Amino acid sequence: MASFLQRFKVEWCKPSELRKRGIVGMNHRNSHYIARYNRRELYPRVDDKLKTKLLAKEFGLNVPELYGVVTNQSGVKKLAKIVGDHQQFVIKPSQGSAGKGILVITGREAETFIKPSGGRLDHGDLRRHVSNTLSGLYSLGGKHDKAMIEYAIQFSDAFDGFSYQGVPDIRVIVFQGYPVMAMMRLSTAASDGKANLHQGAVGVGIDLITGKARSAVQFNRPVLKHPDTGRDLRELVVPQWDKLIHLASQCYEMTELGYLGADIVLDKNLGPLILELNARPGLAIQVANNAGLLDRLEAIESISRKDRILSTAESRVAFAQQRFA
Amino acid sequence: MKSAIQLRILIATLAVIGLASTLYRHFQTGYPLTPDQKLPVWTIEAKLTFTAEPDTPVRVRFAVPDEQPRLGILEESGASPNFGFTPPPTAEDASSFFRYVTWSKQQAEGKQELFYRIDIYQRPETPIPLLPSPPVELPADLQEGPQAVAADEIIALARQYSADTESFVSQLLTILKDSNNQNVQALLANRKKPLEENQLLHQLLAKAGLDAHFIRYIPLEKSASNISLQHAVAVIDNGKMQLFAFGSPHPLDTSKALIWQRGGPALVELSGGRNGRISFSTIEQFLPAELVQETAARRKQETLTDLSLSSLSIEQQNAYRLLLMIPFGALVVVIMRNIVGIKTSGTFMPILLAMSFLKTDLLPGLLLFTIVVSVGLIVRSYLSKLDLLLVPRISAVVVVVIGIMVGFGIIGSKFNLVIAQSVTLFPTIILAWTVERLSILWEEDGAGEVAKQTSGSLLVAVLAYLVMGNPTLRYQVFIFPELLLVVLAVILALGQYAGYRLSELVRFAPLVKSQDNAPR
Repeated sequence: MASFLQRFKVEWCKPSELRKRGIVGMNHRNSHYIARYNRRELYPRVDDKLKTKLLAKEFGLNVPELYGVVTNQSGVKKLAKIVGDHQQFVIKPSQGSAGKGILVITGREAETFIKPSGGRLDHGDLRRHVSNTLSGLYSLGGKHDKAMIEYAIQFSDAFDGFSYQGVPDIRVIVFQGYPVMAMMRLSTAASDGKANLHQGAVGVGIDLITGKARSAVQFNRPVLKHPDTGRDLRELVVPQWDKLIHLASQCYEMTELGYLGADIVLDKNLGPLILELNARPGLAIQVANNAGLLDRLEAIESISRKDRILSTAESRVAFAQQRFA
Repeated sequence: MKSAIQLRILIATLAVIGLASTLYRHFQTGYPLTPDQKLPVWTIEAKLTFTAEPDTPVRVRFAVPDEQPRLGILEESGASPNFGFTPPPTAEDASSFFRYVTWSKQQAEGKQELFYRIDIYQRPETPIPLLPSPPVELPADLQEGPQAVAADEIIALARQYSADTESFVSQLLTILKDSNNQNVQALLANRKKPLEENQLLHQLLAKAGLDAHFIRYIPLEKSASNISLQHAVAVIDNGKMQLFAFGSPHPLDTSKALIWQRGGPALVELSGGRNGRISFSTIEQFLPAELVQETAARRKQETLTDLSLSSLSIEQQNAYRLLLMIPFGALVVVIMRNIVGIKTSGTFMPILLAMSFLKTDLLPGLLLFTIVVSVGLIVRSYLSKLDLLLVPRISAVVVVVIGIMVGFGIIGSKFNLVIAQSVTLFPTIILAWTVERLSILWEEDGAGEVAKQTSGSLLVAVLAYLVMGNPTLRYQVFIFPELLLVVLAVILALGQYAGYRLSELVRFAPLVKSQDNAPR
């Protein structure tokens, strides 16, 4: 209760203090990084998740397997065929934003589908969800969309007790191919199983070398334990960290976006998979890491063009781990 | 870097052009900068009395003033019970040198009173095509004989001491005042009345070959009754007109002298009556500048001479008034989103809401918004349970929203609520979309986010409403639309702002304050 009330206590700081800590603000991010390094015509590569997925396959990067796509209303009939006998799957809009319209099915009893929350759906519910998706309910600006039916991630046991329901994913900010900062987002009861920090998910700053937690916040305030499970967040370690951070770094060549947020999940069997990419990644990662982005971004801007262009994902990760740990 | 310099130059250019043009027009044309400035308006009433002759049709033709470079007509009317009144021809038909109103009646008996009223306002110098003066016929004594010689000598003397038309007229008038001059004595011997003196001046100027005509004018004073017309001579030189009266070498102030009649024919032509008499009275009053401009604009709606927005019809003007305020709403949105950092649902939704509030007034608008959106959300949550596609669902919400408004109208008319009358103007589609957006937001991000974005939108909408409804600003941007360039410059300048938003000072505060107790 006390922490709930604390959320409403307004704390101020001076702009000079933020500058001293190298915090990047929204306007600075938009004008200096996104406008300058992300060419407009490249956006569809990340805004359209189907394109991202196909592109990733082309570049040999791991993504959740695609079971099928419904592109128009008449295709909704095929849904049952696409779903087939899969016990677990995810239906998501190809151009949804902020996790909108993602339907996860984690279990099945004959023709009844079970959501992580325990809610039960039948084929009609699924068709309606797909139909809504196609008519643009979940996409930006309500434009027509496609519905993707894909592999449901089997979460690594490493995160048991760190997440309440929902998807624990790792967000890596990749600037010109260099991983700059990483954070893990853990859903909570307060966030209703969603991984959005402003809804109450816990953000955990992840060390770029070790994949270990360095700091954690919920509602912009430091926390030590997961609010629902009580697990000590300092014990959190992301397995296969090197593989994961390399995967994030490789997204640069694939998308050519200079300022990129890569959302990566860790599958029990398949290892790190690219869940989605974001051309306008948020700034909450600074709060989770208790550090500003500015110094790191400037360090990368000062690398010579030659070195940048001739770099490989390995050398970029090495640079980042050496400088930003 | 280069584009940043370009942008700065662009911003400076836009701001300078906008401000300079505004100030130039303010000083040049005298449009006041604030709406509450008042302009003097004179109401001049001419009262005609005469005795009608029995059994004859009555027809009265009365000369009336026309638009003048520094005096404009706001309104004119002829009040005369039982008489047919023919207003003067419109300005387009200004080909005639004289302007008349006509009263007529088949039969009248006894004393008659006719009134003509005209409202005159002072205005900045407006070019009005000046018609050439009608030809002047000189009286016989000025054409030949000793008086003609005296006139020629005076003209020659005045020429000698003058450089241009104005100084020539001044010299002439100075000489005519010199009672020791024998030529002057000769000319004025049988011209004693002001009418005759001014006619002499006119004839001398015509003899000297100048474009001049005789006029009758009414001096615009604070308020006076029972005044009569004065005589003067209008001298046209290089398309400019100046008024000179016998007795003073200085031209009359044309913003204080209303030319009632040009040329010299009779002021009134009366048939079917006798003992005609005219008296004038003036009342000076101060009216709001905007009202004056608007009334003047309405009068000359058809003329193309005026290129400002006030030459549009009133209905169009109102549309433009609203249109011109939208950039200010946009400016408010830019400031609130990029400098303050308030989240709104939809970038320009607040402007649309503000425009709705302008139609309904703030409190009824807010009340309506709250009721319609909350009922709409409830209905929408039910509709989402049915198997409906997006477009039909939004359409259904539109129908429901209209239903709510109709219900409002019916209930409102029963209880005589003011709110109900403005309901129809409230943009239904905007509300329907708001309901749709908010309900999706509710499903996806929860009620908290809905509350946050709705209150953000409403806050910005109210601020935009206050700015867009500001009467001074509305007046200024309507009279000086070039101020929009300044708004554009400010928006462009704000577009460069890469500093922290106010909300980020709160958002990132824990980062600064709690850096020591972060878990490690």
